[in-house]
Amino acid sequence: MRVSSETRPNPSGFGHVLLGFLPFRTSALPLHATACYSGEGPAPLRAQCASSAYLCSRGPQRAGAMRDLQLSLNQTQRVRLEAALHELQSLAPAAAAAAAVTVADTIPVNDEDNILKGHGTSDQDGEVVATLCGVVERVNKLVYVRTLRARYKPEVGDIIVGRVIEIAPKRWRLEINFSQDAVLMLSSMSLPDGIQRRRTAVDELNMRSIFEENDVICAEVRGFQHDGSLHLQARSQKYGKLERGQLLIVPAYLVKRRKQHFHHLERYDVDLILGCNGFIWVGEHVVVGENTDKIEDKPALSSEVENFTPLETRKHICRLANAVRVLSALGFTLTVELIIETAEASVSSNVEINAMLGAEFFVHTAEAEAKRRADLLRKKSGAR
Amino acid sequence: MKPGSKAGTPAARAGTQGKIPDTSSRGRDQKNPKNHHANSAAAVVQQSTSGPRRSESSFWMPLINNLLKKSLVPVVIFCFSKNRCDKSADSMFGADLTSNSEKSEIRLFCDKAFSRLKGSDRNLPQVVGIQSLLRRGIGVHHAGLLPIVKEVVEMLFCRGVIKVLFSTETFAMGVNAPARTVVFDSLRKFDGKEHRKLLPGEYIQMAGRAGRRGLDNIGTVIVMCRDEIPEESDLKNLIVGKPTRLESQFRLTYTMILHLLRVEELKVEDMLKRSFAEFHAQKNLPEKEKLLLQMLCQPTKTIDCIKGEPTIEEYYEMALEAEAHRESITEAIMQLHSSQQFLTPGRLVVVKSKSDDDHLLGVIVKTPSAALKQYIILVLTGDCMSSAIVPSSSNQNEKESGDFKQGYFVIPKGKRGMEDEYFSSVSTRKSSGVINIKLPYKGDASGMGFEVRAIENKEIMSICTSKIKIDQVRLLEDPSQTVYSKTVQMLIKEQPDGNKYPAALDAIKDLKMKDMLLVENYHAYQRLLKKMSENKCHGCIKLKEHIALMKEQKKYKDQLNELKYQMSDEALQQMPEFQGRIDVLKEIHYIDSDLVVQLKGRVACEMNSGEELISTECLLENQLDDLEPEEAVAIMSALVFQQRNTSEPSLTPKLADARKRIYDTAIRLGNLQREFKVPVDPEEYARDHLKFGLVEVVYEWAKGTPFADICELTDVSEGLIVRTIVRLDETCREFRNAASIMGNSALYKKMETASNAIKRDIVFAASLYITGI
Repeated sequence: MRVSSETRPNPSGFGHVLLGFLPFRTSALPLHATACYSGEGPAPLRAQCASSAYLCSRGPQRAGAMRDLQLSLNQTQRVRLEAALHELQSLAPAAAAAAAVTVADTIPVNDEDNILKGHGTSDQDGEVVATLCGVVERVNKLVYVRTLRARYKPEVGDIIVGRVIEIAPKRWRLEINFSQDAVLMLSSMSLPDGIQRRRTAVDELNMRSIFEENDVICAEVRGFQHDGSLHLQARSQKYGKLERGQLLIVPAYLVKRRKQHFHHLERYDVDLILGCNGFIWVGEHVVVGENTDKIEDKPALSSEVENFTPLETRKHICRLANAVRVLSALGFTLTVELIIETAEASVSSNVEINAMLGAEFFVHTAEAEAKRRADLLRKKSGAR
Repeated sequence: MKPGSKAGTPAARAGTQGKIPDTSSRGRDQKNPKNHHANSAAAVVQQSTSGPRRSESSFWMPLINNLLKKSLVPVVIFCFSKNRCDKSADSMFGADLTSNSEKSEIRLFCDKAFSRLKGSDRNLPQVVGIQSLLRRGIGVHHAGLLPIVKEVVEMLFCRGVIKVLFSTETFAMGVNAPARTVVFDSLRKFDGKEHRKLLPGEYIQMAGRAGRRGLDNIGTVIVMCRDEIPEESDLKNLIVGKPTRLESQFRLTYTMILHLLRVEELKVEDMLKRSFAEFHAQKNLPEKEKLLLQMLCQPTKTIDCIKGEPTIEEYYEMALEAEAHRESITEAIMQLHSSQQFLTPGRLVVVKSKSDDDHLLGVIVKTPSAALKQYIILVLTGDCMSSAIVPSSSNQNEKESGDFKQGYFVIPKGKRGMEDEYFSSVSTRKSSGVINIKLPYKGDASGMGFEVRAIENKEIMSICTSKIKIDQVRLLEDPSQTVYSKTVQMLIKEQPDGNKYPAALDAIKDLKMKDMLLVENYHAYQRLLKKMSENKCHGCIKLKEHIALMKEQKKYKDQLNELKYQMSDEALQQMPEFQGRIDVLKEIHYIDSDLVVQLKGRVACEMNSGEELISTECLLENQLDDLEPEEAVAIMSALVFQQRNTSEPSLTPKLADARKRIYDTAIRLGNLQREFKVPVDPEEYARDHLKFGLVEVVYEWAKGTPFADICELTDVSEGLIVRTIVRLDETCREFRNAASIMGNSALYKKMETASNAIKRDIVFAASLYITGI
């Protein structure tokens, strides 16, 4: 059961949670999200959770395929959560809220400076009208609507995590949460032998030895071809198959483009990949680059030992994954700092891994975030 | 003049016999519509710098005839300007170098090749002109030709039916078409900036075209001597000279930075490191790394302090600081007028010793004069040569000053002899200021070593209050042992206790130092000295040893830091410029503060054919909005056209307006870049990247005017017009992509229309190489 995600845009990036808790709200915030609200009646005490843990092939985490976050809040928790969410709402910059539009809203423009109409805008009887829900952005003369909760839209250079769904001649097709499947050509993939050469028919036959169906892989967006199809590339050691970890699927808008999307959390010996498409990988750290060759050179080490992930690491993976789940359920933008912070908080307050998805920690995280943002704001205004 | 050329066209086409030359060559000469007499006259004028000479035709014909006789054709004649190529070819109106069968082959080939052109294009003066030339076995090849004409000439030349080809340097570069003979019209060329001699590399590239593999045993290279014969040394340098050094042409562009910033894979710094410009610096990197590792591994000698807590580091810092203070103060003191009064012969001074760990007491023997600008000072060197027990500390002292020591130990007893040798001619004159001893003069008297040296005034550490009586004449002019020993004894007497010096003059009270800063400095120095004396290390017997150690360590640390710096990204040559460019990009919101590429940056990434910043700003300021597609594409031509000096185009008011807007944008961007210390001159930046020479031409072309007519509008050669319009199509595509990134469908459509408007006829005729003939 999900509340429609294309509802009222909220610049602070957590509005949908408010919607999720609509039934037990009294009469706070004015909601005029009627146009596209298609919730299936009042939502019961249940947080919308877009994150779903996928079963990963050969992964140690043989978790259930889909898992929604079930929450039952008691009276105190409900009040605390409401207070926290309210504070978050009040902390959101007013300017962003003012620039938020829904479909058919008129975007105020100055007629004199001939504006350039960008995405999500249309001309209606001489007025510029929004055709998407989102925030109006202005760059020089360009006016466009930045959607807040749209499907993933790839840009060149994005790092994405995807799942192989088909092997076609010379290419793999990947599900990446885009409106179409992405294509990874055999030729834009560095071969296991690491030699730069033309791909032969033999290579083509051996494609399954590189990636099979249902493999989770990481790649970079190369660009759109002339026919409009999306091409990926994986010409680097750090791209490729992801094993021994968890794939989490969160709404794509929760991952912002950053300088770094690959993170090696040394403290936990865990790799965290925040795919721009909302696929997040938490897995055991793999050594990339020249070191892998050395490891391959090493004889012995039976495959059993090699495939073994220490219990400690597995626990770390679960803890981080659950942190991501909680944060995405709350609708907070996922940054590596926030994920670590949340995981740390769970450790320091002695919350078991499985209890992390419970109501108490959920409320606790919301409060912590509200406090953090308030501090940040205070610091900022203090600096001014 | 145009009707004339037009009329000449059919005649040339009709003439199967290439021996009727005049009308045909006139036809192709439409750009410079002169008849042949005018042509040769122009040639004479052009050559007037190198003296008057015969007309072109009579110049080339004997050579060609000679080559034909010796069967040294085909020949490529390199002229270094398009104009000269054309004129030389035109001047050969009397020549017919082909047989009948070759003529028909050429004719067939040309007809087939040019059949792909549409009606009026087939009658372009250049197309018609080249055909008449080709039929006679003469070819022309330079950048001003239409691409299709160039291809026809190249292909015919490779078939061997063209006997003489006048060409610019371009023919030696891209095309693989060797000849039997290569002729250099001149050994100087204009390279866009200056008239200069050919470089050895260029010469070899061109001369290398002589001799066809599998056909000729020998290739012949002929250098034409016009009126002056080139110097032998020049020729030698040209033919066997050293090739030009390879220099990195790596340019840091905004597009490159943006492209690298949007992928996580590669840092921009890595890219800079891999450029050829950094090659030499980076080549040594592994060695440096090794050295660094070695240095890091080196165990640092620890100073074991005998007094427990080691404060030597602190002490060393203080000593360094004190030294710096002292230098500035003494320098100032020596400048003081009052101090000059004290620095008279007989004054006791403390002098900095060479081995810098101890200071010496001395007496001024002679003050600076016009001849010698230094003080002559007799100092006590502290130990006695003849004494058997040499204090260990001063022993070390001498070890450090190498030459000093040698003189010291080798000649101890032979001093007398030395004296005799050097000072036999004793001057009788009194106080004439002549110095008859060799400086530094060393000796010992009454158990104390002494030395007479000449020193700079900055070596004087302090001036003492006391004064002694000295015999200047006896000391310098007529050195006598007794006087020396007397002086030394007096000096020793002044030393109240072995190592201490007599009281120094107070800088403020006695020398009347007034400068505020200096006084403060002086106090700071005094305080430091006091602190130093309070430090545990002061007076420690191992002080000297430890100070030396500290010095070593300091040097080592500095070295280490230097190495680390060299290996870091900051040492890259282009780093400052890169930083500047990053700041510019941030300022105009192409990237955010975390260096994540923003929408504007993504638009700029699409712009490859024109200057990325100007293109992007022009788009985002919506400058193309009120323009028709034809006008828009005309303005965009400024971004891709590359010739500097052209005739001024006549523009419609709307176009002139648009031109001003984009020019202002460029100036604004130029100013911004200069603000952020990117080496850019706004005016030059705008002029370099926006060249409006073809705006009118492209506008007319996009409106559907035939090619023959648009050529009339400008003095830019046909080949360049075609090249510019072809590139312009690329720009249209980029602008279209940018429009789709921004989500503006109107602009997208406009660019599509513009692209279709310019994509027609001769400009986009398919290459003969690709489609085949």
